[in-house]
Amino acid sequence: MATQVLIRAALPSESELQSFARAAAQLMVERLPHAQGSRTVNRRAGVGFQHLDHRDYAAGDEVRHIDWRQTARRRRPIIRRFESESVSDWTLVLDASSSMAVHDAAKWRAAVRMGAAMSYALLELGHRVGLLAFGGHVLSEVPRGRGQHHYAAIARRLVELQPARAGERSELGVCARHLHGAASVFAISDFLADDEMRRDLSALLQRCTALHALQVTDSAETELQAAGDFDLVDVETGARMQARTGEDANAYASGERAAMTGRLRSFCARSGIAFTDWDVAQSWQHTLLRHLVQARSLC
Amino acid sequence: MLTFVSPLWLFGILLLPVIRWLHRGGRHLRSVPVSRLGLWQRAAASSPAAGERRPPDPAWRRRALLTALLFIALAGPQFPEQRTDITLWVDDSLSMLTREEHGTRLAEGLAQVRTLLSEVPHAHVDVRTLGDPWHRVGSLSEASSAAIVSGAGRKQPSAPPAALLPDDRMHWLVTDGAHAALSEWPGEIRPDRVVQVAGVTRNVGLERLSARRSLNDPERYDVSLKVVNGGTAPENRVVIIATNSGELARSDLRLDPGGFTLVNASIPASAKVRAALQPGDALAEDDELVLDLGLLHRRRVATDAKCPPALRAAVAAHPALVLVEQGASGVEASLDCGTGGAVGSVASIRVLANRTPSRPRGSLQWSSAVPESRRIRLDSEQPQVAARLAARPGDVVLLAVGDEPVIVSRAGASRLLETSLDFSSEDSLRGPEIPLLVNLLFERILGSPLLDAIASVDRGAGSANVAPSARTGAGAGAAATRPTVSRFLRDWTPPFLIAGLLVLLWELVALGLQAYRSINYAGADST
Repeated sequence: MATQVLIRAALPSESELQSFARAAAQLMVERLPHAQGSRTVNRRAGVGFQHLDHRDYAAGDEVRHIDWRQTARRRRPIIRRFESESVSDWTLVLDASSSMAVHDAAKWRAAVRMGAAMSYALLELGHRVGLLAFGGHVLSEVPRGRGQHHYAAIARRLVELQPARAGERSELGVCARHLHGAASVFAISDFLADDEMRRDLSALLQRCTALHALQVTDSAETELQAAGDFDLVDVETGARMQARTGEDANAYASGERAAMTGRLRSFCARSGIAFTDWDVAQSWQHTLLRHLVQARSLC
Repeated sequence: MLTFVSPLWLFGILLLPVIRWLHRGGRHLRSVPVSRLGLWQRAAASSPAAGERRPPDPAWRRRALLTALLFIALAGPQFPEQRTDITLWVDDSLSMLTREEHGTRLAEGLAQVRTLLSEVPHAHVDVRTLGDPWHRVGSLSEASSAAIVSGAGRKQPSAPPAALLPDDRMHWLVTDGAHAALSEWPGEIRPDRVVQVAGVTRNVGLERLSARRSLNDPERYDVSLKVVNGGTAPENRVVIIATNSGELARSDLRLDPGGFTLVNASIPASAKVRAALQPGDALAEDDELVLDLGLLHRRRVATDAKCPPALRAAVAAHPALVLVEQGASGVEASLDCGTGGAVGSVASIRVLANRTPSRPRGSLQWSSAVPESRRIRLDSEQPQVAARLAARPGDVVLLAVGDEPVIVSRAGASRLLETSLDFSSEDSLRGPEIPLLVNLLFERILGSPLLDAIASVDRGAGSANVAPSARTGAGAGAAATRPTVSRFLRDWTPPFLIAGLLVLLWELVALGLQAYRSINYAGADST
């Protein structure tokens, strides 16, 4: 049995964070990614809501946002949705399931670095940023806050977090009820689930103003080095399956993974979710900047 | 045919199908954690849906073999074997050392037995001697034969005890037939085969030699020698008696068959006496006898000059004691009457006289440590004492008057007797009392009888007989009804146990290698 090793993710350095924040600011200040129909915002302090449209009430919504006139007209609870403001709320949703911990937790370390960088850049722009880490349930939550001291709190929590090596499932949907008010959501996960978490993404989309999905992949998880008969164990469910590994099996697994990515990409495109597939072997700065550029074009 | 001591254990073999069933899921594979099982569905080794059935783990054969071996071992397998169990009884009396044509009777007899045994298939021989039947010599080999020859004639042989004559064994006897008693076995048992070696029938031997101190002259010994004709023809011999100083006596004898003669002689005191017959014969071992006379020599007693004259006279008159003055060499005992000149390492008698003689009240009481026959009847019921003795823990009071000890054997490393008897009193001790008391005290401290010592060496009656007796031959070839071949069940449990242990070792090695590979794979996977 392998020795249990604590998974400690290393955060980007201050210089890396600042460098990334300056580059990202150009993309986010000029035109923040937001839901369809939102307007361009500029970089200024202050708060305020511009009415955008209506949607059905969902548990957890602010009662004061209920549009009573529309509710009476449609005979069901309707709430007002507001356009993203130049200074808006963000929630980073981080997958801390056991699938993120396989292969020396390469995916988890990459996700932590990306989450830290994203929260740093957003806080630099004056946004309020919160953190949700999920597995089978919400494992950790940092309420939204503002300023560099809040980054310290988020960074501390990111370093403390450790995904369980086995038994922790991926239930992205459990984060939906923790999203209060209008906020943009930046979800970082491997999206390894029966339906690539599409149903959970739909639920999140109902509760936020904009949704970003960043899929973390690791080529090692579809390339078993040893060939022969093995007892494969799903680290999340514990299910076992005897398999004969080798080059063919690796090719099959890579193909299956690509198919999952393709299905998820198509779903995000249809749903207006900014989606990026990131192999951890690639630079996180380039990946994030590319994602922001793609998000601008999407919007 | 294979048999089992506890065949019920064989039902355990019915567990073998269970073992195979337990291994139906295939062999135990190394576990590899993956992020999602669905990615590897197409690499599944078997698909129950497709009806493909994987073979059981090959290790089930090893474990089934181990189980089968253990249950067979528990059942106690036995394989029948045929062999002939023979107890070879060897007559190791002195006459078996008689020289025949090719050697001693014993050597020739054992050689004949080896020849006979070579004709018996699967013979298992257990050798015992008639001189020491309870000691198992072992199998018949060169070493055991040499041991028997070297020990022959030292012990008086006898017929084997009934407890060592079981019916399921054959009993062979090697003898010369010179002693009929050795053929009279208990019950109606007779030897199954008698190997008799007795060609020589003439022998004269010395049976007994004894000596005692001469009653007339303590410096001489009276020697008595018994010469026996153990053969079948009249014989003429010359008997020579000698000591370390040379030949002392010579006598011509004529002996009829079976007859004997006692030869008496008086020799000066010596350390040893040797008697020999001339000319020698086939049994040279009984033609000479040597007797150690150390038991008869006179003991030198260092006697204190202050001792009462009666006491010194008693020591001087004792035939086994020699009175010497204190300081003389070669002293074996000392008599101390107050000067304190006794040597610490030798046995001592201390006569105490430090107070006015008195007669203590009470009757004479001998200790139970003094045998009744050794006790001296003193004429005076109240002997006079010249000191007061006190018994300490560990001491033995040999004689007391009333509650006052008068002769005490002191406890300690050196032998010491103390007495408070007044040997200077003519009234209290007179006549033979003092010599008898002196003899008693010195016998006590020297630990051996002094007046009637006899030294002797005796080979036993009939030791010189070499001709076979008439009764011995009747037993030869008897007991034809005794089974010649016995059925023997050999226990085969150890081979099965060893095989089981080897399979268990194989299993442990296989498990160890599997664990080693798993650890290595997990380590490689984590890096």
